[in-house]
Amino acid sequence: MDSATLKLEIKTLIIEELDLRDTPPYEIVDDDPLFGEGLGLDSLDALQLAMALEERFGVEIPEGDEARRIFSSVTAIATHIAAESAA
Amino acid sequence: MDLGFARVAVTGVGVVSALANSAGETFDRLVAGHRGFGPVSLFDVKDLRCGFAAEVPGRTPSDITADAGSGWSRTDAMALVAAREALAASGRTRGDRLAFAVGATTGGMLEAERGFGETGAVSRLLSHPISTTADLVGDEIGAGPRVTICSACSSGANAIVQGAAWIATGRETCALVGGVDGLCQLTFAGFNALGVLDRAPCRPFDVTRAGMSLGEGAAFLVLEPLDLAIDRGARVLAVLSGSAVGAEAHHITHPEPSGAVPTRMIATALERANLAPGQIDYVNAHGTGTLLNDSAEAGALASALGESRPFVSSSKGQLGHTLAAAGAIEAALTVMALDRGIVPGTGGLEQPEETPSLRHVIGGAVRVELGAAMSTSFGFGGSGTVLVFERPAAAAATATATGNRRSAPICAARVVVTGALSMGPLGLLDAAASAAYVEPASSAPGKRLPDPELDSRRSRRFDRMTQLIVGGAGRAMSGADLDGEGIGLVVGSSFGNIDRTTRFLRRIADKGPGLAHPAEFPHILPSAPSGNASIYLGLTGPVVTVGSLTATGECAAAVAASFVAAGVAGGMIAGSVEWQDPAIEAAQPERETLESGAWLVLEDRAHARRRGAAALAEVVGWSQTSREPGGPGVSSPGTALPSVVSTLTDWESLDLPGWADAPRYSVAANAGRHASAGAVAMAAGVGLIVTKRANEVLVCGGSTARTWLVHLVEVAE
Repeated sequence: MDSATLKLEIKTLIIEELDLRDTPPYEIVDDDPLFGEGLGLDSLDALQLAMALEERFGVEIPEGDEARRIFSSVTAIATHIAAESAA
Repeated sequence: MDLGFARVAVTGVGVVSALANSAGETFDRLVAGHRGFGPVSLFDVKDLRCGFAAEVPGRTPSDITADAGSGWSRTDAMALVAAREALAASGRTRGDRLAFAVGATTGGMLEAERGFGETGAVSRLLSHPISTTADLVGDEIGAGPRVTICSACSSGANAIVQGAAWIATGRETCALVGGVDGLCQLTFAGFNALGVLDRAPCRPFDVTRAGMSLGEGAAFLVLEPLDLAIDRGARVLAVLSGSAVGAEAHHITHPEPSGAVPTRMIATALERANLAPGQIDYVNAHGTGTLLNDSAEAGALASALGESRPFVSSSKGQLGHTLAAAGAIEAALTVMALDRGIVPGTGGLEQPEETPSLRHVIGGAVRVELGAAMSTSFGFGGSGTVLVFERPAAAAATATATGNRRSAPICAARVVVTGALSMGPLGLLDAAASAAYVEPASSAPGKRLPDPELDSRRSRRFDRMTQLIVGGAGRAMSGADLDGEGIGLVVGSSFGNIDRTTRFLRRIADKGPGLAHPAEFPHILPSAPSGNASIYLGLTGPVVTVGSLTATGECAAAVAASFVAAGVAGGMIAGSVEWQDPAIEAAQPERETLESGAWLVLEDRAHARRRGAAALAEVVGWSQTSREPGGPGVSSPGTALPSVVSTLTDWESLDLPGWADAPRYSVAANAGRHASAGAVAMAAGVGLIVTKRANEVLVCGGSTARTWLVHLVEVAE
């Protein structure tokens, strides 16, 4: 899967899982922060997203600070998935 | 109005916990340092962070008590044992009128989810509506009025507040109040998904704490007017001298880190109890063991109680977090601590976080004479309750010092209606127009309500039921020109959201409990709609959900009226909705569902006057007639133009003393068939008064076996 396809798939997943039905995928900017400001997501969303990513892509999302880094943007999530899948 | 509960005596307590089947033994084992945790035996905990809980021994309801009937849940059985113990301890005579308030969240979910898991039939999830425990146990113990209150983890404490409101305002002379919650896979998998379960037994307030541990149990307290309790020679264990109920309006699961709202609530409870911060000797804290709760709570206790270093302990390190029961169990333990002069310690606590002004009880119980003690409860959605108890001798001294005479006449605020609206097949109607629902001609077919206008980002987790509730309550607020500060909300909901619950449970059945949806869990609890509404609308008063089957709408109004009359809140919004639950429609296609709802704004008359709000009607009486001795508790009409508005179809036989000759109106069937029928009847009743078609109205609904009555009169200038 190329990087652009992967990112689009991640955005679609975010919209579905986090009940952001009114947000089109193009409004989620690849490198913008997802949590806090940005989309206004919180730690409950992080838990939900971690579970969804693990299910969809078969990757492990660790807890704590590492998760915070992975969830910093769509690009960071895509990088983590690509790295885990390659390993 | 600032009304304390100074005259409310506690004359009996009953507790069922993982440690013992009685209050006394539970307290003894708590003091001896026993911890009630063991492997979960009731359901599958495969792949979960933790596999233990503080279970009450007994796999089936009849293992817990031989008197459990068929169709009972373990929760019902635990409630019966604790209720009977409290009544026996109080020495009350069976047959005297008894009001009953139960704090509950999951009720019979263990049995319901097992049935659903085995058969996949949605009907199994309809088999234990939240009011079941109050009905089954209420029949066994001969209770009259029954209220079921859910505000997540403060449910049990709020049932106690309802009881205190009954007694303090002179509406009832004896109340059995408390909470009950049985473990079930739904809550266990839900808390696991949130990542808040500690892998080891919890350590409240410890620097190494890593989450909560779950438990189950029940507790009830008998409340009576102090003077009557003394007159009949009852042993008074404690006086419930103050309380405060509020909401943070912050987040559905996270406490607001500054602890500002709990700090204010503690101060309010002390003020109502006529106590200075330094007079609190002991706090039985909520203390769940989660990082966020314990730091916010310790901060609030330290700033509200000053430098007086009260003893602080949490019982959850030994009993687990018993959710809806916790506030009641911990209130009972607080009463016993005062009565016995023993402060139980905090199980699992070794190294508390530095909070110099608090004295954590580490390494075992402390024997010390106590004058006043406090119990705190905080729940999902940010709702919290603080209860203040005093030893009878200490309470008498406080009363003398403050000139607060305990035999003073009953004191209650006057409750007025300052807003009313209905939403149904005739559209969105104000109070006057809502009177149309008493006309047979209004029987247009029911239909889906228009979508409420809500901010899509802030309401993204709302289901349709919650959208309708938040939209309706919000309209009622803006119609009455009210902002949410200090204002409470009672949402009537008899079944909650079955569709969402079904999807949550199907996922657990398909993928295992370890893959339960974390973000869904807080939204399927019965208190989720009221919690979400409080956050969205900025309501910071008492925020609860109630259920009473077809009388849910009237019950919501009655609970709100009690809270206002007792000074628990200056204003409350109360109402309910019906919606087309897809899971129920699919399971029972023959059952016609429709969408409707109605909301009232009730205020303390002084509160309404201060802000210049006009009163549409006054609420002068409310009660439930369910086979209880003592009559309906609502007075005969006193004006020239009384009317009765009812949702009952078979109400010709209903005995309403004094109201026999009043014109009777039936509420149109399209105004609601279940949870919202009574709410629409309330709005229509206010409408009859506003349009001068009646001087006073008795709204009655439910079924002939469980009729709720609310008495409205025009406002005399």
